[in-house]
Amino acid sequence: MESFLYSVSHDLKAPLISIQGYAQSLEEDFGQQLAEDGRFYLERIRRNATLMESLILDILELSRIGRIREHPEDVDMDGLMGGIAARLGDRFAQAGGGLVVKEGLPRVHGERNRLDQLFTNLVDNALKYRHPGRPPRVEVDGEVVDGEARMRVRDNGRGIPERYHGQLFNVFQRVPAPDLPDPGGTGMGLAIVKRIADTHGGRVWVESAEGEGSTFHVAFPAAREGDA
Amino acid sequence: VTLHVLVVDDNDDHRFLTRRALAQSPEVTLLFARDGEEALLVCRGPTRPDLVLLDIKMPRKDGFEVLAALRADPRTASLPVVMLTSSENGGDVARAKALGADDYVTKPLDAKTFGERVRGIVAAWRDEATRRRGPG
Repeated sequence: MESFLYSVSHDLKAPLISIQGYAQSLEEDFGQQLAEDGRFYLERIRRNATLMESLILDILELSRIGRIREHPEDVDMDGLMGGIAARLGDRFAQAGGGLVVKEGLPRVHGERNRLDQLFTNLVDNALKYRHPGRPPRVEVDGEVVDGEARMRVRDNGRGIPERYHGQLFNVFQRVPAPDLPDPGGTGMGLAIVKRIADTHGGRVWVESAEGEGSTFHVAFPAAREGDA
Repeated sequence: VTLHVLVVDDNDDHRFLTRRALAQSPEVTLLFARDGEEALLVCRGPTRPDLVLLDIKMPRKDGFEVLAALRADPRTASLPVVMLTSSENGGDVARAKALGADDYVTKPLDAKTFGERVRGIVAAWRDEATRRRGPG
């Protein structure tokens, strides 16, 4: 399945590159001659081509998880989450909110960059799907429970109605919210989260209610002493 | 000075867009090949290119196979090669570098900067060739 996705997404890119290339040529060679309507249509072609490129890149990314493996290591989640906080903390601060990472997170045996990608996606989602009426806040904590390293990412965002919980981690799944600003994105972020958790022998689930924020739980087999 | 640039790409539209990207470079004369086998024939033929723009995913022989064959042949071992690709795939970049590619460009090409880049690569290669030959 992964190699099929990889092959299909590569084949989808070739015509997309042509569309982008011709749209760019049209703008550069004839942009000045286009009326306002024409420039609007051209802008829409480019915007949709960019969205399609994001979709294809996400499919490619999904196909790589598990197919192209890094050497697993004993990952210090305090350090990993500290790196994510350093990268994303300013965006929470600018929005008047905050990102808090509790100390003493469990160690996880796995692929460092994939684990970073998983938790970056979850934290970034909290920014994207923030509640319109309050500044975004996220708290990350974790502990070892029954031999599992359990991590929690809790946000105060717009929340997810229960009827969507079962499909939330499917590809191209976005929760409809017609009355709220569209945060963009492709609907692949949580599918990538689940795929990474799966390839680490872990699991992911959500507790959430509409308007009341979400808590994402990720459980991995705990790193054993001597893993490195 | 005329620069002979060989564009190797199996996609008609991509060849056309590469031609357009270099349209503002009057010193460039383009040669075209539609697959890897054809590219090797041109590179070993009478009109040897000064630079090869090489797509990766192609029938018969892909870009990596062509690059490896060029580097293995003393007649073409030092020929500058720029890989053209449809995605910024770290694995592809590393493989292209390991096989001796001179540069790596993601499509669609930017007409404003691409011609300049091509001229820079060929100029550097000619300087190096002159230095090796020595004075006189």
